[in-house]
Amino acid sequence: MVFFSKNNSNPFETLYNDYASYIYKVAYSILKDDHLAQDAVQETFIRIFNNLEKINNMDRNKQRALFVIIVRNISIDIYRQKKKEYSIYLDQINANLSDPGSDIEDIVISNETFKMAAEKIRELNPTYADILSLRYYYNYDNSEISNILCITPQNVRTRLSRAKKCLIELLSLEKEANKYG
Amino acid sequence: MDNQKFAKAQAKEKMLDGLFEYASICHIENILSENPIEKKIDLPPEFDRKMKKLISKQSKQLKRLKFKQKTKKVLPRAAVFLLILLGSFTLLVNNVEALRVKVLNIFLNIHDQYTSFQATKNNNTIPQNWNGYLPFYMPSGFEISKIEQNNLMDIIYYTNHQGQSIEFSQSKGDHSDMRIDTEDALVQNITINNSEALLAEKNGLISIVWRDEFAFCLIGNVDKSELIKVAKNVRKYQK
Repeated sequence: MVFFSKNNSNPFETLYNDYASYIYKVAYSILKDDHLAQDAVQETFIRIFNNLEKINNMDRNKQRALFVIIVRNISIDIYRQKKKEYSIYLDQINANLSDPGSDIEDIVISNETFKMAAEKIRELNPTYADILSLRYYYNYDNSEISNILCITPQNVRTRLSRAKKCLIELLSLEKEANKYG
Repeated sequence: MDNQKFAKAQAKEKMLDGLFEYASICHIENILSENPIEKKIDLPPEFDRKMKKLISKQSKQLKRLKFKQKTKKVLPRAAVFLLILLGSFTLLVNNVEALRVKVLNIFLNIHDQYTSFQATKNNNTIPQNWNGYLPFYMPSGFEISKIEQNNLMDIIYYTNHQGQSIEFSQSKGDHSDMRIDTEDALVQNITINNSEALLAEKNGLISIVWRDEFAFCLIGNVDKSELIKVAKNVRKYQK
């Protein structure tokens, strides 16, 4: 068994003892640098501390996935700072997103759509998939997401809206392809 | 018709939300399967120390925050409780006479003992606001050395260069009393300005007490006839 809980009265220390190594591995898999990964771990725990009350009441799998989302976003931010191209790449994706409109929504909402959603969420940019999960799985509101990801509530709204559009577009493209292919 | 359109739009939104929720759950499943629990690795000890420091700092912050929150919760309640207590006490004191007298006595005692006992600014002259009586005769060589005043009693101390002293006290309250030490003393009744007085001699100290408008007391290590003369010359002070 890898994870264990020491009988420690400090919940923050318990979380650190249980997850530090795990979070470090996720950070390292993105950043490929010891020091940057350590910075990401430190920042992750600061954000965990700021949201400790909610996190403490979660089951361990839910906690683990949330920590991955947090450390991944932090690592991506650090990576972006190091490699500006990444943000340009994201901006390009964002710029290509147009309003899907009601027709596309009509295409998307069908019986087979849910099956497709499970596949297409893998293709969605992780930043978008993460924010969708924070809203629809963890039920965080904009200000809570803003705290966790350390972005402004305005950015949360924008990113969430783009994530929805992007997923709908991926689904509708698949539908169109099936239709004509 | 508009209502139906609105309801349809809402339903569509709910379905979309359902779709997003489904996709989110799939995303979490993907995260968990892509990042499985593996064997723990040891982080560098330096980093570990840094993190422990951070944890202890954050924990202190959390404790302070909790304390503040608790205080915020408890303080208004405590204030209300104190107000109620104070209100009830005031009501009780107002309504129960025996208690009122006791409480007032407490304040009066404190007042007499600690607050109001004051020496006059220039304490070897009679102050302008002197209210009551003064000895208008004093044996030669005696001068005022100190004056003390409080709500119930005024005392003037006279001394001379031979080290002799005379202490004059007047007690203004209706129920106030003057007491002198008569144990093993030579006591005799005399008259001071038509008032009965008690004279006691003990160890060379002469004491005279009598009551006129106020209660008076003279104590001195001087000649008995001189002290009686001083007593007979105690008259109302006219400003």
